[in-house]
Amino acid sequence: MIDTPGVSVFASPSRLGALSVLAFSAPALAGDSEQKQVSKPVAPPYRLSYETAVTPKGIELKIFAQNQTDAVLLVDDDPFVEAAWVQLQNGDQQRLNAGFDADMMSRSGPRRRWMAVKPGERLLVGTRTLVPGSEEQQWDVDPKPQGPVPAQGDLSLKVNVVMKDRTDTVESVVHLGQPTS
Amino acid sequence: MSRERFATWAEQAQRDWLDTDGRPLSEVSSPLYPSDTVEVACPYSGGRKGRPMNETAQLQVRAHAEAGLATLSVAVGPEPRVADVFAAATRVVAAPLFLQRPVPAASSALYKTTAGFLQLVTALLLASPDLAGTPARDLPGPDSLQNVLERGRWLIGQRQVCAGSPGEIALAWEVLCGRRRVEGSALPLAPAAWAPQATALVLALTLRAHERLLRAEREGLAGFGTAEPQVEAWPLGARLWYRRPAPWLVAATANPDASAEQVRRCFAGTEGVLEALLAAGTTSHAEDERAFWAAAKGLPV
Repeated sequence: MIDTPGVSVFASPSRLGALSVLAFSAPALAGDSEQKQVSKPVAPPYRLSYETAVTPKGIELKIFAQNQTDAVLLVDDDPFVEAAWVQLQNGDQQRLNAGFDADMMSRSGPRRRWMAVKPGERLLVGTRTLVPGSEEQQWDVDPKPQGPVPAQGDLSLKVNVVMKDRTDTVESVVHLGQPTS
Repeated sequence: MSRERFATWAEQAQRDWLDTDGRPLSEVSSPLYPSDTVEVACPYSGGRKGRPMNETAQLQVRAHAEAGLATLSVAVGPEPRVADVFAAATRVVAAPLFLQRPVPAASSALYKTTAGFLQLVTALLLASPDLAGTPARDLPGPDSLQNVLERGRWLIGQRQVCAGSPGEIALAWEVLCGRRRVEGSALPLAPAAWAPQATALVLALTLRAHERLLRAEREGLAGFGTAEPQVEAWPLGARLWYRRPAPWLVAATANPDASAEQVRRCFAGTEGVLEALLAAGTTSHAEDERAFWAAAKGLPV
């Protein structure tokens, strides 16, 4: 087992004979301003917000979670960007891909790390680089930009956020080139 | 020297040590990863098929497979308990700390073979009360193991997949479980009185930090949760939690319910240095680290 194996789940052979696998659920995503939750009918107990910086290498996306409850929330520290695209000012849409570790596609295990977000607190829970790309390179660990990095436009995000006891998929729109909350 | 060795182990600094083939122990995880390493698409079925696989390291491991398996047999001993498998794996992975550098290629190869199993066994023990004293031969066989590895994606790393064939993984597992013995000259091992306890201390410190962080205790962690965390200034436990340099630490903190006390489950009996750390009555990350170094003085030199 060379390299650090990813994900997991494990298992406890209670009375041995079989390793029962306790799979964690798959990750989810989140967003900001114009945010709606996709996977569940109730709003998540946190609010996602983003900071973006456009660089020649891509759009640096920082994902923040703000706890909107009066209890500590446990959030996985790597929200999974399931989809991202930019509505350019000329009306065209440009697909973006997030640089992920290959095993984050189905993160459920050893690579998970939990962040505790205090009531009212806004905490950085993930950073991703988004680059113009194609379907084929979607899961590249270090995708190279295919085409110019958009500096303006509406960035639409579909993000999975994993909590200790729930997973949310959230869609958001961030306006590139404008300060965000 | 003993403190220096333990500090190396705690920070996992040996992961960047080179072996006599010029390869770092942690392979692709190291900045010293050779640029001429041959990576191929993994030919094995399952989730790793087609993903990048380190063929150069695979060949190194295969060149020393007999000595490696014989060493695992010696390390686990006859009729091992699951705790003995944990101890054996720690003795293999910590062995380079007790060797001249560059690390002999055979020991390097065995390190690479065993690091993943140590991750697996650690996760298994932390999750399973009363397992440590159970005969390892009662652990599930290769077919169940493959199923677990596949479902849990244990064989898929950040940049490469495990390069062991299903047959090689199964054979090493059978040897570790004591169901099969391989005779031959054994490679050097870390002392039995040192490696499991040293590993347990680091696990417990990391899990103590994990517990505190789940309670949002962040005293002394400058920049935590911001874009510029000053990690190098954090107390050791939080640094390990953040960087997770060792595979077995990666597995340990994945479970939100994991606690430092669970490290007792890695042993069939009581370990003094671990108990000293757990009983220290600390209330902060910094106190945890002080207790950690104080407990480490109880490790055999």
